[in-house]
Amino acid sequence: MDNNYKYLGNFTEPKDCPNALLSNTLQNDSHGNFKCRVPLKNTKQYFVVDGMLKESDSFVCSENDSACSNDIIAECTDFANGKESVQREFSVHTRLGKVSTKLSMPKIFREIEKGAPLNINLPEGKVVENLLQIIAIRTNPQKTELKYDINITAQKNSSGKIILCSHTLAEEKFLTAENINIKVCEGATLDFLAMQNEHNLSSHVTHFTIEVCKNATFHLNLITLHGGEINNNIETYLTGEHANCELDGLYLADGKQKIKTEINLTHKAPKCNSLQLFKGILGGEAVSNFSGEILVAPDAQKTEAYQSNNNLLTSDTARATSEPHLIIYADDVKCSHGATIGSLDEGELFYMRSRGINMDEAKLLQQQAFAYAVLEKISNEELRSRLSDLVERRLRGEFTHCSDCSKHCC
Amino acid sequence: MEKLLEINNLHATISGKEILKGINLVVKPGEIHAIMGPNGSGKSTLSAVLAGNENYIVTDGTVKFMGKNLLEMKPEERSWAGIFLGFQYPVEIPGVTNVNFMKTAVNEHRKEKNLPALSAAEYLKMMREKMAIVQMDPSFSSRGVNVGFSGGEKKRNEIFQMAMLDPALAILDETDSGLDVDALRIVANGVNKLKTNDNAFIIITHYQRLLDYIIPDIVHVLYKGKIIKTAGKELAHVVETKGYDEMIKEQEENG
Ligand SMILES: Nc1ncnc2c1ncn2[C@@H]1O[C@H](COP(=O)(O)OP(=O)(O)OP(=O)(O)O)[C@@H](O)[C@H]1O
Ligand SMILES: [Mg+2]
Repeated sequence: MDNNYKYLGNFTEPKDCPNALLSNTLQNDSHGNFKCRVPLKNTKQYFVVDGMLKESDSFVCSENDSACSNDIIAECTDFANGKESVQREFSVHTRLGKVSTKLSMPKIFREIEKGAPLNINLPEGKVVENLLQIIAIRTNPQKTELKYDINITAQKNSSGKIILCSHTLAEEKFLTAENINIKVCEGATLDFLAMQNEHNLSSHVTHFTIEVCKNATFHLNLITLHGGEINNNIETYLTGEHANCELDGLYLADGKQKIKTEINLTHKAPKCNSLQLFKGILGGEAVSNFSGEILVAPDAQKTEAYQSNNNLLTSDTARATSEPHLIIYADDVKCSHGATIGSLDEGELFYMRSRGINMDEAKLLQQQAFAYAVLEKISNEELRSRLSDLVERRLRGEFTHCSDCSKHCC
Repeated sequence: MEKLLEINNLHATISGKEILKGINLVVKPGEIHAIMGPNGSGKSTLSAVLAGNENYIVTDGTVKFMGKNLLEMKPEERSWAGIFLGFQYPVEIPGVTNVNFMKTAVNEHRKEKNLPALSAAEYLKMMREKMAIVQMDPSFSSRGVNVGFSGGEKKRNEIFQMAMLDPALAILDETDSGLDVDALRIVANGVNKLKTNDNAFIIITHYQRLLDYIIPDIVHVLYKGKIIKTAGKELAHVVETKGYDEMIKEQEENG
């Protein structure tokens, strides 16, 4: 296996410090409290622990506690009283599910426990300066299969930035099914960054349903650092004129990891723009399947829609497929899509090595360069540099270091 | 040290085709060698083989660098040992900034010598100094390696990199091609500034022009994978005025 991917090796190694593999971006402070390394100053954090919004003593905010409290912006509906949002079931192929046919798949999710939905509402006209961070943690060995909803509404002319981090903190075979429903109302702006960082035994299915209304802007950065089997399903509708949507993603997988990305983006209204850039670095025996569909409705004239998917294979055994589809019913549109699957560039590697950069480092530089195009789209500079750092550490395989371990067992 | 580089009967192939057919060459510290020769004669092949490009297969012969078997070494090890190749066609590396690239390279060299990595400030100071040698604007440092650089800018960047790494043996493959008259002088002056009694240069060129500024001690003509003539700096003038025809004929007559 590629040296760059020590981290990805065997989940159970090193034996005496299993947690080292689990919690790459997590740290405990001296009191054993949980901390996430991603948040910035003035970040409001919401912990969703096994599907429940939590503010227990064992979880603290990075900066000050008052910022942590659950204010009007986010609330957790008690599931017994709240209504389950109408969500179309989606099929998923998972290693953990015993059923193998597509039809019977959704059954897995009907039977599993359902967490309370987390609702985030950016009130009309409100510009939320602080970053809102949702930290979703799977930790309870009794609740290995879980499904929950996150509903986000950016009301008219509001604006905000939300980051969602998903982690697994116990060695269980967690299966998480997450529905993220986002509505960006007229004139609103929403930046949403999802950072997925779970261990090799986890299966995580995320279904995004995104609506971008008239004059609204939505930007998604989906950074998949690690996970056993990851399934990202992004359903996006541009429903009002001049809606603007950018979807960017970076997925890193190796070992025996699997990643599936499915995008369905529909231009329903005229004069909307959409831009998609998804890039993947795949090593070991990782498998990535990407399919991206852009549908332009008959009325959606003057649509501009672009999609590209680029995959970099760093081993001979990694596999990637990419299937773009354009379905266009309008005649005055500018649309394009492109997909590439390539390996490391020999010429570049030799050039770097001839300058004394050793092979591993040269490969790393090339992978970082490949990832950069996605990372540079993260608008907040501080967040961008933190994620770039995490990506670098991930590619270096440094996540195993016990200094990052949440349990400090060694 | 007597010999810096010693090439003996070097044969090399690419895609099964023999390109180098028995090269012999000795380079001593303090010397400047020029290698000339018609297109396709194998000049770049020789430099690629010396730098360790794995696309070429050495089928016979030996190469010693500072007494060590060069052919056993990886490209990065050759760089650490003091070999530098200025590429005829420098490679563009989108997404890797010049500064990140060179800083990584310099620190890898330092690591090899058991020196601590340079701090950002130390690196910057060094970089500015070396950029000044080739009159390169510091704004180039934040751009992707060679990305969008003009032909001449790429060549200057090669010399800048050479200055940063301070090699014992620099092989400059047509560093003069694509340079305007001013840039040619700047690059040549750069080389002359870096020249010491301990290091050596192999300058591959088609033209006398560059050799007006960088005076070679020895000039070789490479033809069909062999050095067919070796002489002093006057040989470059012969090439410039008469071309290769006579030498080639002479060589063919002598077998
Ligand atoms: N992959 C390859 N397969 C076959 N022949 C090759 C390959 N690469 C290079 N060659 C051949 O090797 C020969 C030597 O090429 P090389 O680049 O070393 O010449 P050169 O002396 O540097 O020429 P120039 O002055 O044009 O730069 C050429 O005939 C070239 O076509
Ligand atoms: Mg050449």
